[in-house]
Amino acid sequence: MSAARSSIPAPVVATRRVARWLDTLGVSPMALDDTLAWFNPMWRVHQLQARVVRRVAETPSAVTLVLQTGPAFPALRPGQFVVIGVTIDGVCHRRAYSPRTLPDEPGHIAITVQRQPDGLVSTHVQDSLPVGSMVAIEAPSGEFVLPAALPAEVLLIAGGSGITPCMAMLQHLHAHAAHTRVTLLYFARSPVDRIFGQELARLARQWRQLHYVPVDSVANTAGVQLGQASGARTLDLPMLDAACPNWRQTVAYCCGPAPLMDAARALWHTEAPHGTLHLEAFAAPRASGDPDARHAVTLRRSGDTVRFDAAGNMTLLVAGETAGLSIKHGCRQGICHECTCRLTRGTVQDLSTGQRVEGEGQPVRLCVTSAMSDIELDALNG
Amino acid sequence: MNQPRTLQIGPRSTEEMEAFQRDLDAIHTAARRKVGEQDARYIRGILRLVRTTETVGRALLLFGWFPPTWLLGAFLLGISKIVDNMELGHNVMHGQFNFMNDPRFHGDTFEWDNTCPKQEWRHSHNYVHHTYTNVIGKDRDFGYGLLRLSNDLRWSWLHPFQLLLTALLALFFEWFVAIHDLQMDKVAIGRKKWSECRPQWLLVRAKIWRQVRKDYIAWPLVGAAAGAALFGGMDGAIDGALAVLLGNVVGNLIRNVWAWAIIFCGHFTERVYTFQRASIEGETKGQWYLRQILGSSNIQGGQLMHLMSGNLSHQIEHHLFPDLPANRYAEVAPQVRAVCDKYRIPYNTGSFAGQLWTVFKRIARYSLPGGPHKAVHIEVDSVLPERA
Repeated sequence: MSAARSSIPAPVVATRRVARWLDTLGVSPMALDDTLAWFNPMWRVHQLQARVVRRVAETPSAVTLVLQTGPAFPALRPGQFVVIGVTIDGVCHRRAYSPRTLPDEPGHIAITVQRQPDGLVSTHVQDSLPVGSMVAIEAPSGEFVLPAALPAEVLLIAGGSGITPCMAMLQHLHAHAAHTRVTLLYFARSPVDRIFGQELARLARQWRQLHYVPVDSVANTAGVQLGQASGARTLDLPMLDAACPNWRQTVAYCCGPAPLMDAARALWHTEAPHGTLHLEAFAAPRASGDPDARHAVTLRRSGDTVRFDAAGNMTLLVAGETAGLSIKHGCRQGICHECTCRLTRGTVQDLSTGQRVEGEGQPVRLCVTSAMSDIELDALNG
Repeated sequence: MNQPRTLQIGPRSTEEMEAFQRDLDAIHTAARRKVGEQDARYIRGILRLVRTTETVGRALLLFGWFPPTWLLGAFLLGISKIVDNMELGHNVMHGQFNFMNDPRFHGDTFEWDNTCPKQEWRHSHNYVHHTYTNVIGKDRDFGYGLLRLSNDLRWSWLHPFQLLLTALLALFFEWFVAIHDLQMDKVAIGRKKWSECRPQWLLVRAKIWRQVRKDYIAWPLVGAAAGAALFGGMDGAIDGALAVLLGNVVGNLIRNVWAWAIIFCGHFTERVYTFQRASIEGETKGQWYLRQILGSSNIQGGQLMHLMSGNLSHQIEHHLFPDLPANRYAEVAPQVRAVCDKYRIPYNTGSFAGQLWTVFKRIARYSLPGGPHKAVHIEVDSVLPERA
């Protein structure tokens, strides 16, 4: 964190200090931000913005956006995510992406967006976000990062667009710690769908320490029937042993679709309970509860009470929106905590961890929680 | 308490009442469906207007007592506060722009340039006033616990002075609104303990202190610095500070009086009805709609009037659909009026001066004992044998 803080230029630090004084004196920091934005939208110090400066097609369904960030945007640690906000039909939608820094272009980052089936934001980014557009951007965060003292060996397991944080780490290691032995297991549906496919192949040829294992498999793809012998390989013990014989002692990172992450979690749990495995989900988990169950949800927010029904296979946020409410939310992936409420009664399932939560006032995030009984919630954040 | 008159206004049967409700629901649904980019662009523009007028107004006040800059500065600051409180704040705090999912326009997080804390406002206004509109003893906005505006309230020695009290209310409107939800009138007559008010009072005090720091300390200090730089010396600094201080006082006064006038024209005009607690028991949505129409009055005018009144010139439409973005009221108003005509419901509207005049008449009339009853009980099925 100290590294991130020291990367903020002095004028931004000074402006923030002025904003804090003004806030104490009763002047809204937002007003200062809006005033600065008249001169240059990049000068905002609170609600940051970034400009799309370049678009590169990676695969038929993935595009990389190069974004120019402002001076107030903190330094990025490889593997972290940023929350990007785009406005579609007047509504702000926020999603998390894992960006890479660009060594030759300071003040720029690159995010790669995979088109999701029925994905509102990914479709908008692909089709209607031309060069020159502005997007809202939040400071990077997340703990899916390399340790401060770099280990001698690293194992990266990626599936589909889960390659993006791994790519950021890989590029960082190549540039700053090329002696590190790196194994990359990368699942993709086909060579055409393999984001950074050529770049990785080239890197593997140049960099002896990188052991690159591309796997073509549809085993992790949603909606595909398993069972076919070829083309449906999933992460298993023989594959791990072959790719990285001492994987049990290696610091490992896994980012990809839920089946891949579940497989990794299970392998480490049984085979290497003392090993180090970092996991990062890149899409909102799906509730798998009973679609026919209808749970009554009571949500109180400063005097107002709203009630709606939630099916067991819906997140509370989606259930509320299906009932026609606009519930305050952010990333819809359990990251930003904008939608956090206190669970005062009833039982829910936290879909990010799979844990049951019995209501006694714990904070729960509506976007990654499904109801297991009738529940009562108190809104936080206002 | 007086017995309310039983009136037969609007829909004449349960079936007709249901049809009336469906007609209004349909207007709401159709308007809601259109909400999107256009409304988002509108409210972002309003925020820009608030920021621009505030910045320019405050900058002009830094030029000291020079009349053209001082007058324009105070005026622009007043305009900024009006638009911030009314078209931006009031509407955003109703949740009209929650659909944008933008923290700047979310009803729970928005903070306005006013001494009333947002939490207090959401309770006393969004909940109490909008649910129990014009129900005597329930809607605390009806007369603000100070004024007698209907024969349903007992006359007392205080009421002959209520025109004077109204003038004070207008001048210090934001301060009255800030302490409104503390229900000090109940404390005064011993129906509520001061200790119950304390948590709310702390909230109000913090918000008041924040406003005082900004308008009466921070900006005058900036004015002192500007005065010292422009006119030189201690005298320049004092003049600069006083010019800003008085400019801010005037800006706040402009907002107070204007907001008071608009709000009084919305509910206290001559032909606005009141209701009694018993009349709203078991009320249907249709009856609630009817009560909102009978309890509100509109102001006729152009776009400028709508903007500066925060679209409370469409008070009737606002009370029917409080969470519909305010920029849509002008569009639904003719449809609401057509529904009113169809069901023979009076649609109370008039020019600003005309409506304000009837407000004064009403305040004056009820400052003396007696006066016509304004409380009504709306009869739907007029074929009940005992009524026939």
